[in-house]
Formats: sequence, structure tokens, C-alpha cells
Amino acid sequence: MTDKNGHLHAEDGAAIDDVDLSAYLDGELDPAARQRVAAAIEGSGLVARRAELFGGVDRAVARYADAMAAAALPARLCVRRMAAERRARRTRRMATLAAALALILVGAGGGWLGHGLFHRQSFAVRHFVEAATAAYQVYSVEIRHPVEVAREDRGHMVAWLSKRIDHRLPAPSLDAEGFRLVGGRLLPTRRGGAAAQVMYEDAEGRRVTLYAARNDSGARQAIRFFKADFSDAETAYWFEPEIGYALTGTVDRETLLKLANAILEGSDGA
Amino acid sequence: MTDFLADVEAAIPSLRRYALTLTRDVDAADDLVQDCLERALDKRRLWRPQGAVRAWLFAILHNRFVSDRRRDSRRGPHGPLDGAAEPAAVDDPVAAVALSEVGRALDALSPEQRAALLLVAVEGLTYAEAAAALGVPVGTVMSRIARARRSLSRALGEGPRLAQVK
Repeated sequence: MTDKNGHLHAEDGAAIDDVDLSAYLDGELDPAARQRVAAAIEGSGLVARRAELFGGVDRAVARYADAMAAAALPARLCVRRMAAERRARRTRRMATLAAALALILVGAGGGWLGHGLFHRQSFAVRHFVEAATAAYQVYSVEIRHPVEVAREDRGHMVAWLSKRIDHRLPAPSLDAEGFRLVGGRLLPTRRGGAAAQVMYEDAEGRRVTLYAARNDSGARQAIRFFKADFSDAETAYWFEPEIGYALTGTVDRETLLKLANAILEGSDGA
Repeated sequence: MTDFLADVEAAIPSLRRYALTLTRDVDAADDLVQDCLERALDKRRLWRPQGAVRAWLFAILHNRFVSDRRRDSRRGPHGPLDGAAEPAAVDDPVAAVALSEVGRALDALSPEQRAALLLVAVEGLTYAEAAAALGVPVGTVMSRIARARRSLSRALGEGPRLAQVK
């Protein structure tokens, strides 16, 4: 019989509720309780039927779950590839850091090399850094809607933007450098591609933006500086074989370089 | 560390099965698993080999699920369940009908009940592991599973429908 509490009664009158029965089926009862439920199943057709019913439910759910997952795993869920990409990034980052250091040394000796080299850069590179500066110009002054996804949803923001730009986006904490994550947004590139903009700000409300988009040239380049004629902001930019970065802000170059290095170090997400 | 990767790799089909059955949305499920794997690689140094990697991964995945759901609820409701993922075609048409009924019955459960039942009954976690993954006491897991089985029994009935998917 089932009483008003949903308890099934074995022949000896001991109540076996769904929790007991359920835990019994999952092998989670202590020996005494296990024995009690086993005896109830043995002694009562009702309890036995309910146990059989619960077993049927489990089998149905398992069949359903297996059928849902029958399709092959998509390539993006390959953890070995993810791990290999991280190792490769670490190696590339060491190279970029070494190159950045060399630039600083040159800079200390005879002025910034990067600035002088800019006119030799291709149109595509110029467009890239100008687009980054323009995006900084437009969004860094926003009070109410500086970003589409705020820092509270950092995990989602990184996953979403990484997916759109088809590359893992670094959005490391720059707290140690005194800049706090504001959030990020998606932007179009000139050729209809996707670019990501991640914004940070310091305690005085000074903002910097990290702009990232695919680097179709495949060429690597260490950190260089650029200043667009339409803005007061400076940009530090660098390229990895798959992706280009531009860090823009109305701050001095030392600050930009410090932040750029922190991003390079932190882009592993560790 | 190679063992770690092998353990993670071995768990991926289970993680995906769980995410798919929990969300019934292929893109959302794959996002969830990808996110979980990235987090696991981020945190691999924090993982201590005494526990099962699998249970640890389910805990990471569940945390993401909860925070995504919190975000989505702030953004307002999703569209209708028309786009819900359906199980892949099964050879036996009778079984396929029964499976879509199982899907509807699972939808009627609360996500908390669904999660607890799937972790234990499908993925084989112990109550203690499921409790750790879901961040609730063992007693809560126990009653959620019982309630889930009770409402599924009611929805699927005792008769021929369950018999079809045995």
C-alpha cells in the first residue's frame, strides 16, 4: 500500500520511502538500512515493483543520454590540442618577450626603434592599429555602455570572444598593474571579420583597451608603438602568427609596455 | 602530467553527455564543455591526484552551468524549446518515440533534480562526489534523486513506455 506520505509498506509494516529505495539502488545505504530495504523488496510485491520501476527510469534516462551524445566529438573539444596550443603560446611568448626586451635596450640607447619603423609597415598593419585606436576613441569615453559583457561574466566573455575571433583571447588580470577589467565587446573589422576589444581602467578612471583580431599575414612581430594622427592615445601593438594585438590608451609608453608585458605573460590564463 | 591529460580526455564523452542532457542545446553544451576543459587546464596545478579527475571535472562544469544560467536569467527568458537538441536517430522507431518522451519528462524536472540524477544514475558518481560537484549536502542530493525518479516514474508510467526502452 502507498500511504498519504508516499510510503510503501512492506508486509511487516516497515515504511520504505522513495529516498530509501533510491539510495538502495545507488548502493548508498549503510548495511543495516540496505538489509531492511532488501527484505522489503523480497517481501512485498509493491516495493519490488517500485524498485523495478525506478530501475526502468534509470535505464530510460541512460539510453536517452547515450542517444543525445551519439554524435562524434567536435574538434574544439580536443584537450590535447588545447594543451599543445598553450605550450606553443608559451614558447612564442618567450620569443616575443625577448624581442620586446631588445626593443627596450635599443630604446634606451637611441630612441624608439618602433616609431621609426612604422612607415615601412604595410597598409594592413596601419589599418589594424588605426582601427584599434578608433575603437578606443569611441568606447573608452562611454559612461553607461563601455562594454557589451561586463567583468562579472569574464568566463563567458572570454569564451564568446575567443570563439568569434577564432583564437583564445587573453584577458588576464592586470590588477597587479593597477588596472581593473571592465569587460569586452565584439567589433567588425574592415574585411568583415571579427575583432575583440577588452577594456581595463585604473583607479583614476583612465582606460586602456586591448584590441585583438586575426593576423592573416602569419608574420610575427615584437611590440612596437604607434600614435594615430586623429587621437591623443598611444598604441603598443604586436603580432603572433595567428593573431594581432593592439593595446591603446592615453597613458605613457612605459605604462603601455608594462601592461603589454603583463598581457603577454598572463595570456596563458594561468 | 600526461596522466592528467589522459584522464581528462577519457572524461570528455561523459562531460559532453552530461552537458547535452542537462541543457538539451548542442551549442550551449559544447561551450560548457570547452569552458570546463580550459578551466581544468588553467587549474591543473591545483588538482590533487587523490580524488577522481572525473568528479573534479564535473564540479568545474557544473559551476560554469550555474553561472551561465544566472547570467541568462538576468538577460530574460530564452525562446521556446523548439530548438532543443533531440537524440540522434535510433534504428528502432518505437524506441525513438519513447526517447523523445524521456526528453520531455526530463525537461519537466528542475535543473537541480536533473543534474543530481544524471550525475549519479548516468555518470556513476557517488552521492558524495555528486554533492561536491553540485555544492550541496549529501542529503540534498539523496532527496533530489528520489524526487527525480518519482516524477519520472509518474511521467513515464509503469506500463509499456518504459518497457520499450529497456
